[in-house]
Amino acid sequence: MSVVEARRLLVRYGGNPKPTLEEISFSIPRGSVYALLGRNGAGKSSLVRCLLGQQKPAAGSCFLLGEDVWKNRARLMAKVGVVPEDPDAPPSMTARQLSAFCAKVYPSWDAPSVEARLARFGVPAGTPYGSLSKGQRALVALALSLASSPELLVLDDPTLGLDAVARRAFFEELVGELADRGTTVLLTSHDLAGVESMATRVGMLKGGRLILDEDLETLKGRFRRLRYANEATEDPTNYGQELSDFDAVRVKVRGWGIEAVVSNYGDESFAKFTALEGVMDAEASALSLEEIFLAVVGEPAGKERA
Amino acid sequence: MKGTLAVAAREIAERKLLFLGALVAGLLPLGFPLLPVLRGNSRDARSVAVLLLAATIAVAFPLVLGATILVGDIAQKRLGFYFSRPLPAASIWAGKLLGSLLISVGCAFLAAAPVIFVEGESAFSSDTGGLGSRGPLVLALPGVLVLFLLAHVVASMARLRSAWIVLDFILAVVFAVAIALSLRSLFLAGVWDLDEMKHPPETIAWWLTAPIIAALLAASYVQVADGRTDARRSHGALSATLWGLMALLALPLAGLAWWVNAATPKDVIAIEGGIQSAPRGSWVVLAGKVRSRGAAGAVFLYDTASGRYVKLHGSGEVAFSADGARAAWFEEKGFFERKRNGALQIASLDSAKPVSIGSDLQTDAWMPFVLSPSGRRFAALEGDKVLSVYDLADPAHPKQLVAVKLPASAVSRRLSFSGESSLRVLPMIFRNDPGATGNAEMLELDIPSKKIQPTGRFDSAVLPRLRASADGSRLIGVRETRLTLRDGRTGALLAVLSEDLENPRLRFLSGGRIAVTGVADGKGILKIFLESERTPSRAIELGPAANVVLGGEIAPGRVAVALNPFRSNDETARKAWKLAVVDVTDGNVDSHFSGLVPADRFSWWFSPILSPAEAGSPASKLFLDADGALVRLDPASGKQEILLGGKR
Repeated sequence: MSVVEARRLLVRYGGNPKPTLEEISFSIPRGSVYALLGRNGAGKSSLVRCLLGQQKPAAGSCFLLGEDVWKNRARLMAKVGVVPEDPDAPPSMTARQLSAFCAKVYPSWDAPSVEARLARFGVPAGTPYGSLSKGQRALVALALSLASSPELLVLDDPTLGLDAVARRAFFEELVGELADRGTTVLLTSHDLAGVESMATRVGMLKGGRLILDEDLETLKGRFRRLRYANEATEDPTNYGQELSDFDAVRVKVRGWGIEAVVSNYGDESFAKFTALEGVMDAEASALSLEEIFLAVVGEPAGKERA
Repeated sequence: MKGTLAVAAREIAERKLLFLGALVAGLLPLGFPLLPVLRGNSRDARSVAVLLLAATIAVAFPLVLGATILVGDIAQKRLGFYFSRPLPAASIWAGKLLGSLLISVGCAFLAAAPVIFVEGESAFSSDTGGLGSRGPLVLALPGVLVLFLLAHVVASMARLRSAWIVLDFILAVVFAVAIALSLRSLFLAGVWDLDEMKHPPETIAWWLTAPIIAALLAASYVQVADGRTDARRSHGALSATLWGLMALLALPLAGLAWWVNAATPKDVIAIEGGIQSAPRGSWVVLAGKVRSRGAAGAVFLYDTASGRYVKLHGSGEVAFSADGARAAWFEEKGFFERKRNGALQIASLDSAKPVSIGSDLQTDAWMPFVLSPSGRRFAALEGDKVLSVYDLADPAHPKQLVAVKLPASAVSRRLSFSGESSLRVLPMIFRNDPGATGNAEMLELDIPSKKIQPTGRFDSAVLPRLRASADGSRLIGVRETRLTLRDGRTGALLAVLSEDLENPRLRFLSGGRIAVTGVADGKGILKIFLESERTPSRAIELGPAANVVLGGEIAPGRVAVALNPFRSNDETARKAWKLAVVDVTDGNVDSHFSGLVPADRFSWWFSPILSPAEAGSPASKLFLDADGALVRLDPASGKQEILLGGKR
């Protein structure tokens, strides 16, 4: 059973004719760490709010743990931990008071774990939430989100604006939690390096559409950067049919030759490619998640001169 | 419930300093006796200060909290904290509401607590300069709730900044106007007659307010439950619910108002009091409760011959021309006023479909008014001071012909035209002002020359209640059992017609005769005078009666007189009327009709002019039966035809 499922989700704001989210459908299997990526304004936070039952989509529906989240939000939230993009806890309350408040409304609440995590993070438990730094607020939110032993953890760009130390603390705690309990995670983030170390599956939003949704390993396996010298023509930009077997996401003409990012890399195809007349010194290198993201989402596909 | 209390407790904990502040502020007045300037009346000053403090808190806190607590969370995107917890929307809404109410009421109480603690029970005694009754404290909670909700709704509309605010503004105006007009319409129709209310006005006010409070509560709940963290949707949910419920309230109210006011004469159940008939013709003014419309009443100008009618939106005071073809009255202008001030209405009753023409003549004061015999002139006495005469050639735009200031008078005045060019001002004494002293003059205005001069004088201590004959030539005066006939211009005594009858009544009959009735020694008496005689030409004993009503000359020489053994007007008395038709020539009582009483008993109380002498006039044949139905009696056959009502 999928822990998270979205069916033909449509979100539209005001009189804007173009929907923010257009017929989004995807699911997250139990135990997965799903990284939802996209540029600013791609609709990630809208999607998260819909998935948490905080916002009603114009069409479509969302399910958490097999139940319609709009109808059963209150019950489902007992099994979901949330770290929001913007710190939304009452600013006058201390982390300790927030924990005490949550203890009254959750069926089970591990208050000592909150204290322990805050101590590990070095966040004062007696300081009002509004007086904490943004990084500290994110860590408080993470500590609170984990105290109910959730089956699903939803993290909406939790490390946005955090310094490297706070970011590291955040992800270390998260990795530890995942190792301990195997919690399903839905994560949106711009920190692609941090995400890459944890994610098992990736979705990419662009222009209101989910243009990519697959396991990270598969994704990384099919994306490669190809570099080669093109001697087939005198003009290096006038490359010909040598990339025809590949789905070239991006092609750049460099001084020394051509650099292409392909999304359907295969060893056999590459061997055939290197044997083509005019293709010299071809090499294929793996891409990081960030490079794949930039290639897929960053700019329109095509060729350019560097 | 657990979630509600947790949210409420959190709101209270966040603002706990407010409680401390209120308590400290409440302690300060206890130090008033130490201030030299307040020595001697420090207790009063203390009570006033505490009252003001508590009232300020009870008003200001819910307004501020209503404008900030939920709306602020939505606008600043902080409601997600609650919605990402296992808290039902109802708990979030109710917890925030409960917290706000407890903060407001609790702080107001804490501000008053020190004085209440020191003063004890006497703190509530207004006699001792205390806080007054506990009533205001009991009303504090609903009052705080209303303020909180109003502030919340207004702040939501203003702060959430969605396009709904345009609709909010339009619908707020539309519903406010619709509800106000509907209530006004129902009020003026008498649906809520405060004199007949079983419940105090405060209770009625709460009944009217309760649906609006319920709508505000429901709207704010749906705003949270359906809008959640989406500010635009939240505003939409609030507006849709609020205006939807307001429509559910306003539309039936408007429908009820329309239905109540759509009553026709056929809806009249029972005619109240009696009718006022036009001097000639078949038009009458009647008022009564209308079918299935609660305590609502209606007033109509009604043609007993054809069934045509004009609905009057006023008290029912109507002036007729001598031929009965034109009528004038005032309709209410004020919003919740039931006085007859307002705009003058004129109707031509001889048209196929009479309609009232609203004129631009308006008044803010209660005033007597009258139409000239031709109906072409209208006179009114404003504030008992300024006498004005208008030309009604164009009824929509009366043209003022004369406006003269009258000398001061010890008594009220009424008007009576004498022809088209002369207007008489009659002094009028009322039962509730019998002891007025000073001169009471009769005045006459010559309209062409605009000159006014006294024509007669009364000592107001013995001034009788005067009414003029239809032609203005004579007056009759009644004071207690003394019934006098007087000169129409000077008021000079012509004859004492009766001194021994209780509740004497008079009518001018055809042939210059005068009929007088009353009760003497437990018997109904009818006396017939020739105009020239000072003693009755005939006195007819009608039988045992405690009350007698003199009708008109139902046929030449035949006068209708109703007798009742009771003085009261209850159901038993209504059924006890017995109508006798008396032949004034020979004194024979021709026939009896049980349960009938003349409909036009003695003209309406405000009219200074008696019905003209006219044998067999349509009005003389109209009676009310025991059920309040308007009945036309054929004197020849005895046949009774119910025209209106009859199902009391």
